[in-house]
Amino acid sequence: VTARRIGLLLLVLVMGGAVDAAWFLRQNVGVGASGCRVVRGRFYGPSFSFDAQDRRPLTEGATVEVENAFGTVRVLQGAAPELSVSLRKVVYRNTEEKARALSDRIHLQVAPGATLRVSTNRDELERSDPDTGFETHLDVTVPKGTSVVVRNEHGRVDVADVAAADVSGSFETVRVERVAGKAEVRARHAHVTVRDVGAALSLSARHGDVDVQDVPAGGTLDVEHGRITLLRVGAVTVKGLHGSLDAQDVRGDLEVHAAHMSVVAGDVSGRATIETSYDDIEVTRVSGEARLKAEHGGIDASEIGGPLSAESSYDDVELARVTGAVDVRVQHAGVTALDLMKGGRVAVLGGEVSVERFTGPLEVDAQRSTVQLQPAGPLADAVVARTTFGDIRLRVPEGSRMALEASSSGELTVDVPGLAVTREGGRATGTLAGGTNVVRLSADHGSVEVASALAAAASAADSRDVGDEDEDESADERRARRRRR
Amino acid sequence: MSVLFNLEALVVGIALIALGVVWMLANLGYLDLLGTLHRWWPTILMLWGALELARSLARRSLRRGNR
Repeated sequence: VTARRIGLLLLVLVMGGAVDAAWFLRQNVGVGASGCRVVRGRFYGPSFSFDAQDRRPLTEGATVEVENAFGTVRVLQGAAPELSVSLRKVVYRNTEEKARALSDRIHLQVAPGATLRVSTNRDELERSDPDTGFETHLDVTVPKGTSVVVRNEHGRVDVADVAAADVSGSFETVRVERVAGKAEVRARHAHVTVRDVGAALSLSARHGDVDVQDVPAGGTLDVEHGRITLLRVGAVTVKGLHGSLDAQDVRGDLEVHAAHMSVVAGDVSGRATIETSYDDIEVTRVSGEARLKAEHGGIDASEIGGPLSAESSYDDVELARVTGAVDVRVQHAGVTALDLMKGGRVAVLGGEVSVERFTGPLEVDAQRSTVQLQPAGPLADAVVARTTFGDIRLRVPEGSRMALEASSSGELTVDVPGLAVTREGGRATGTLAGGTNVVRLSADHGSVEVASALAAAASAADSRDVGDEDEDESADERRARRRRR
Repeated sequence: MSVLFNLEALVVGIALIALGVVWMLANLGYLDLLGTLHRWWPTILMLWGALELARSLARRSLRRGNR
């Protein structure tokens, strides 16, 4: 026996084994009817269509329940006071004759009662022959003012112009629009679109994107593994996991409890309460209070009409134009704030702190941080800043008054016209313009510099001529970081 | 004549022809390719064995004739 012959024998045996393995997989792993495969709720293979219809009177204000397993369900409003059901049966068989034989056994079922129930005899057929492969596409027309319940397992669902909707769908698009009353939507592995709902919306979705517009009564959303888009909605509560949320024009309070989800919100006319993790929060134009918490994520908030509470870790907090007092806590990252109208409190561990153009009393408690402070106008309120292993720099605008108490274990520089200080060891005290507002600056293992804002600006202009390139680069980096968010 | 016919070439040739026919019939919709291959592939081994036996018998009778 030659090696060539042994090789050929092995080749034949391997090919035979592969064919057997493929056969085994087809027989034991495949799901669905024989001769066709089911992937994401669809059958594949040769198919034939057959139609059936049913009509019966239906009074206004009734409730219709539609149940389907494979196929599209469409519910629309009709002019006549009747229920009209068009059934398209798509039967997966190799020949039309076989398909017709199965189609003749598929019947539409309309069960009268307080709730009119529309379904097919699929369960009965599948019990008698588990290999039946067919889809039933239902077009249902109902009179005005009908409440609708739809349960579809594998197929698209469209519901429009009804009094109320309770819809479940999976593996295809779910679309609910123009609902006069409340809407309840549950979806899996499906893209969900909701438009124009008159009352509260309750939505639950897994593994699919959610797009909601024009729901003035707001509602609750529970979404996992999907992108959420909200536009022109009322007060809304969102529970999210893995994905993103973009909420714009929220006419009420926005409440978000998320994890592994980025949150962007704009034009919120109420309060914004947002918490997420491992991703960022970006809010713009919030009329009321903003309470933001991002674990392992950054926060970017601007144009906040009320007080702001922000808590983040491992990424920066950037604030701009906050009308109310701020309470910021950051770990392992820094804070940049512009235009804080009522001051507030900033606690930072391990990052830079820069608060510019602030008004009102301000307290900064930092560790391993450098602190830069510049009021918006003449200083008249208390300012307390403490840091360890970092410096403190305060720019004092013209016309300010204060009672300064500065201490430093490093360099201590006070250069403000009209402010005479008394030095004692690493401490300096003095009064400017008879001010009683305490300005207490303390740097442990760092330096303190108190300088006139004008002099500091002139000095900065001089140094900018030298270090322009570096400064531009850092501004670019900041912009890039915001864009990435 | 040491070899009556090239056995490997014969087996591969017949197997290729059979595979091509089955594949074409499957493409034309007359049979299920995977089902047919699953059912009939051991015939390659049977055919090969039969050809091996035939060649061995032919070789033996050839030797007797030479004596």
